[in-house]
Amino acid sequence: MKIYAQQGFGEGDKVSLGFQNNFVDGVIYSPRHTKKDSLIAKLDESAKDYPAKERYFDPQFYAALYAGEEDWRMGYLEEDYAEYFKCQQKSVLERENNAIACIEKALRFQQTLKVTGIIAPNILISRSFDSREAVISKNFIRNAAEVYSKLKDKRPLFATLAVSYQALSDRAAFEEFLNEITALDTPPDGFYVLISTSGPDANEEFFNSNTIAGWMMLNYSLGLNGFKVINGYSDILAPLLLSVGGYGGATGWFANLRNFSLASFQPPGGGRRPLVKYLSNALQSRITVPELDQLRNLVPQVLNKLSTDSYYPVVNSSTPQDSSQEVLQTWETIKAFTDRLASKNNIPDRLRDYSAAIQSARNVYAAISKTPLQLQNGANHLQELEEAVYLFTKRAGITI
Amino acid sequence: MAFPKLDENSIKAALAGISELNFIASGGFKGVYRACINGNIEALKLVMVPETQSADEEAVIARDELIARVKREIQIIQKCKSPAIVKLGSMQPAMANIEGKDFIIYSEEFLEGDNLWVILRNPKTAPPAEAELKLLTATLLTAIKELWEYRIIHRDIKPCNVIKTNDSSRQFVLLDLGIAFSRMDTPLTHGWTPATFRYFAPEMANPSFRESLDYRADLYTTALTVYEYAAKTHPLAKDFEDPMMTVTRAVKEIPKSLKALRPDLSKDFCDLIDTLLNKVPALRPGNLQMLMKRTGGLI
Repeated sequence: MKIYAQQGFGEGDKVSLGFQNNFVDGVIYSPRHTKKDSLIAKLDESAKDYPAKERYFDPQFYAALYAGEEDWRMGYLEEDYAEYFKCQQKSVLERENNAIACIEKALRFQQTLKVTGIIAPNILISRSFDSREAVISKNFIRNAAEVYSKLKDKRPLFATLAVSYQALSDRAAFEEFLNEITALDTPPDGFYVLISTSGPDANEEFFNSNTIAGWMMLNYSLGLNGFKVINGYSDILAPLLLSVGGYGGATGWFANLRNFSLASFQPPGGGRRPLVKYLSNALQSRITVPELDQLRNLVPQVLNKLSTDSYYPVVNSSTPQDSSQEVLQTWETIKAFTDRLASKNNIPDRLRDYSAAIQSARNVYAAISKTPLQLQNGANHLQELEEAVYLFTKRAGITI
Repeated sequence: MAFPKLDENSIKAALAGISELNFIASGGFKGVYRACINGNIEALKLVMVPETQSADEEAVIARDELIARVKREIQIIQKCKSPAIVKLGSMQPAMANIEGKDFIIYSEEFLEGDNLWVILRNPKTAPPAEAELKLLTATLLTAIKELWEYRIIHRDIKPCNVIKTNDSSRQFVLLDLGIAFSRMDTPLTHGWTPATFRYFAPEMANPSFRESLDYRADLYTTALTVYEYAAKTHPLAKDFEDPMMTVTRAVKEIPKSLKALRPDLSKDFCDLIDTLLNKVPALRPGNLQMLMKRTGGLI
């Protein structure tokens, strides 16, 4: 069970500190935010300095359908990555030969990079598994390994499966899609799974029991069938996804690296500087620095008792001094919880432990409710997580 | 129409080279005999070709479908090399008229032993040990693997179609590819689903199953067979039940874990059988290499 850095704008030394401290097992690079020269240098450097860490490159082909939209922000994709990235239309990608050509270009490009695994391109299924987009997506998945086999590369291949949270709610279409991708004649080694919401602040879509249960089903089914599943932008859901069969989860420093959405490519709508937060395993959620500063004495269970707690020093009103420290705290916290679940032998045991953690979080929230403090975010997510575990076990036929 | 009771002398008279002949079983249009053909004991198979009037279009289609099925069954057996699947005998397929009726006649190897249905229904036989159950599972997986290499789904794996032989080097053998489904060839049936309802993979209930059916249907029926052989009770069906009720159970009801009925078996093995009984093909472990590893390897 691996935790990766989901790289994006404003990397600085965050990824290398994550490697140094062993908080992450690898990195998934975003070409949109990284100049090609810089990407090559970063990959070369981490291959040399941290050879055991995994390095991936998300080709972000799902944005190609929107590259022609006015004011959409493609970053470096169109200029630095024109070898494989250009504006596409669905009607063109519907032709299998065109899809194959796109796959080949993206794979050939990655062959030149010092990545440890290759991620095949795909489009986003934006509404339903019973759609034109789903047919195109299946074509990309079906052809990825066939194209790759001709390139004679030994590194593992991951097919991208990018899908909106709404699509997961049509259970029949979803299961039919799953049936097809788990019985491919030439399968990839794994899948790079992205579940999209309408925006980085769409917490109700991300922390939705149906979304989470569907995402768990993907991990369970693909894992059961021998595929490695890397869950991009999975943030604090990663431990749950990995405990039902996933291989890796990823998260980053900004909200748009914790939750996948094409909204981040859209014209900017303004915004405020994000508040620095602390991820508490005991709450299964983040709290703001002022909240942490008050709670650490009143309800000390909110602290993780991990090394990165020291980045939030009491003497400095629990405020980290460095901009990289918040994400380091996130990675260490998610990794610690993942390791705890991984120590259990099987899926039912892990889910029992996860349910116990939710129950324990309820108790911590109950203790907080007895203090004068009002948290910015309440405990609603616990209900969704609990419901997701229930829905998943029912659908998968697992008894806990 | 049932297979007719034939006088054994009529069969011997119609076919050269047959000395001994003993009726074994019949079902549908098919009858099986233990026969000595040119000095060797083989299983003689007779498939009755129903008489049809050329004006009766439906009957003509049904007859042509039956003939095509027999041809397909023979072709599949000819292709398969695995010891897990029955082999053809010395008698090449031919048409013969016996007692005024037309038959397709051919032979398969004769396997000395009982089928699993006979064994599991015998109250005197002890429940099989885990090693035997693993061997049975591995044998069926081996057969499924080879069939799927030709994009064929057996579709009728059940205790009746598995013989437990007296040969320790080849303990279980899968028979009867009569309703096998090919992903490569044209479907042979139109408007109905050939199946044994007691051993029915849930996805077969989907009217458009032909578009997506794959070997995981055989994994499901393998698990049903192993479960029933291990527990001496079917995980879902009940004896003398309406077939539609049995199909409904296959689609909707979650069976008891094998562990509940055979607590002496390992959790890993019971979990494997339970998971293979999942209603959704994608939620069955479908990686045959991984499955083989868990059950002891290729046969």
